[in-house]
Amino acid sequence: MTREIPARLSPRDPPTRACCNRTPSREMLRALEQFNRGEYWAQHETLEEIWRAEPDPTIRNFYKGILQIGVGFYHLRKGNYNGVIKVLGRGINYLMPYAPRCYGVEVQRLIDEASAVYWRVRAKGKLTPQDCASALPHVHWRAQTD
Amino acid sequence: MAYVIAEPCIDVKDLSCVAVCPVDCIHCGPDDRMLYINPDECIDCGACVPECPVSAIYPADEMPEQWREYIEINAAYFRTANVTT
Repeated sequence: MTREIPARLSPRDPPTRACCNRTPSREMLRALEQFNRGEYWAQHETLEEIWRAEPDPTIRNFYKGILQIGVGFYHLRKGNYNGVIKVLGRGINYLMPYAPRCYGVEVQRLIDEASAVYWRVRAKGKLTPQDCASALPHVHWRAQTD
Repeated sequence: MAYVIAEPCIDVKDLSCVAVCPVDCIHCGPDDRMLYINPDECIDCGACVPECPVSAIYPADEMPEQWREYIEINAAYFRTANVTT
């Protein structure tokens, strides 16, 4: 059971799993690879382009969720803990409707691992560089088979 | 250095900027006369700038002199407001 994070989301797009069986585009995979290399600014740029170009409103919050989790880590690296709480928390909540898997991404795993970072920051008010090095999760995905 | 919303937004609140912000950092309450950017949340991408119909958004370090007070006005808003977007 994931502990509830108090973060208010934009009501603009409906979150549903209707599109979750689609295959990630080449650009989407590039964004995930950037995320996993810790290139959080770059993943934000790539996912922002995908998010803005996406005509299907049911999947836009999926992109935004991953994007905002990455931006949360970007703020974390800069020691901007208020930014971490706000943006990481929202990103996690945007992803909730897409769990456990969507687009081949292991969404629940990302939610759980990102939530662990969120709650550590909430509890301690900050993280040490050693915490940052060990705590930041990756996005795991695999090709859709169903 | 975050982006900041200045005086031209007052009583306009067009919201085009809100729709394109990938991190949802532009907020306002129902009784507010303008929109505000949370400097802690903004990632400095500038996506909001070309959307503003009244050219109210600037990087903080490029804010026109007559509106420089809005850097603190934006920041102060988030120290006191119960924001709803």
